[in-house]
Amino acid sequence: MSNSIIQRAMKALGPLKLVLFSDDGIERINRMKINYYAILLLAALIQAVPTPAEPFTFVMHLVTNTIVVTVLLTVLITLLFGISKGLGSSVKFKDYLKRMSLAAFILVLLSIMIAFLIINFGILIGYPEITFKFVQGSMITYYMFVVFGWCAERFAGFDNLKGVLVGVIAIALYYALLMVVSLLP
Amino acid sequence: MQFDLSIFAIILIVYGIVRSTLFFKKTGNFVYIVAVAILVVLISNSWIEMYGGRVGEMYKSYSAVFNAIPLGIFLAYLYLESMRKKEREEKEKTRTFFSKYVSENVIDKLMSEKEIGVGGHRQEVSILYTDVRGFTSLSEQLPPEEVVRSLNEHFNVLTEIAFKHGGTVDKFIGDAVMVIFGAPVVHKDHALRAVRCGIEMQRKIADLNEQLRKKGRPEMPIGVSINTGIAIIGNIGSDKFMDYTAVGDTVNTASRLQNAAGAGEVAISESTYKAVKNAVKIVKKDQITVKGKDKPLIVYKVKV
Repeated sequence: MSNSIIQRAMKALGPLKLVLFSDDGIERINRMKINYYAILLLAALIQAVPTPAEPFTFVMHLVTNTIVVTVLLTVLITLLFGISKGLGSSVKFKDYLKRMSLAAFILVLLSIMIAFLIINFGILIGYPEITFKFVQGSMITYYMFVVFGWCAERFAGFDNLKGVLVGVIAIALYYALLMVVSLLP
Repeated sequence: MQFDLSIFAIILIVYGIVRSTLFFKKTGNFVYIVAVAILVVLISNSWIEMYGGRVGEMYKSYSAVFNAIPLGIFLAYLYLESMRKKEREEKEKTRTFFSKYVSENVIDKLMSEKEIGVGGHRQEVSILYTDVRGFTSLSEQLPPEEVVRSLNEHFNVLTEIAFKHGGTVDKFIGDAVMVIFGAPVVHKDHALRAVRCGIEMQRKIADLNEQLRKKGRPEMPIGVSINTGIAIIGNIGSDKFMDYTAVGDTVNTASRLQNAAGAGEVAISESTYKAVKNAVKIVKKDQITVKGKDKPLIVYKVKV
């Protein structure tokens, strides 16, 4: 029975393999049946959490921020889809939106969880500044962008130099999106 | 968050490293490793410059050593990857060599086993037999070279169709072919695969015979028989010489059913019929008595 639980857990965690640049993770996401509106909203919601303020203002900001981030994320994915199509991809828009939203959700969630753990570990060992710098300077800033770029090309069905172009554009657009998000309250 | 060109450049370099590594893994092209090495040196310099602090100062004094580390790692990776590539090539060579003698399915099964020994297990499979009708008189009339040539042409067609439907060609017995469905690769719909395979075999052999007739060469019509049931599947033989095959009553019955399959017909047993009755059309139901069976067998002829 425990084996079956482990197997089920491994199966459920399969899509997370994409953070290790695994084609298996991409395949599993391709096969998943999910509500992409909900996933897109969740991915936006995590990034839209405002700076702590009065409870009423906090909720107001959270709602407006979520709407803004959802729109931006949708525009970003639509742009990437258009570029991929222009380069010869045969993927359908609905599939691309669903897969990219899920990838964005997984990346944001994982990054925040790992960053939280590392920062707390830093506090525990008495070097919060160093660990904070590590998180800020390496993992979130670099890794998440790179995986996002790779996902953008792989979900478009590319595994060649055209894909690299899509990946680079995806990274640039995501970077721009995060700059706009940082301007939100 | 403000736009920082150096951070953006680092992200793109990391992306370049990841992409080059993945391309190298896929193609084995040395150019990608050189690209990775250059990018790694580039990023290690920028990263330590930006975030290094005291480590950065130390890095400046020993930059040659620090640059050698990533290069060393990637050279080691390159070596390991080339070893793996060599191993893959050897496996492919073995596979190509043995694919002339056994089915791809069997090669996969054998290559995945740590140790190959005799032994078998019970498994439900479907066994398909084909047999050239009137072969004995045909071989008496024709020169042996012509018989072998015609047989090989037939076997080529039959083998290709068997593989297409996921079957494992077990053996050629004179003018007969035995194909296993459901082992070593398990297919739940092995009976249906076998029947569809039999139908396609009859259609393609009819086409081939048509071509032979036009060329003035003798035709070789075949009969196909299929039975489904439990058989012993595995490596059967001695420690020195063995066959991956199926044995048991299911196999014998499939062979005996050949008596019921006329030229251009696909005859299936009752057990096969039960598994495929919703998917195929039956044109005739018959009863035959076979050697070794007390009760007569019910045989169904499938519409080709």
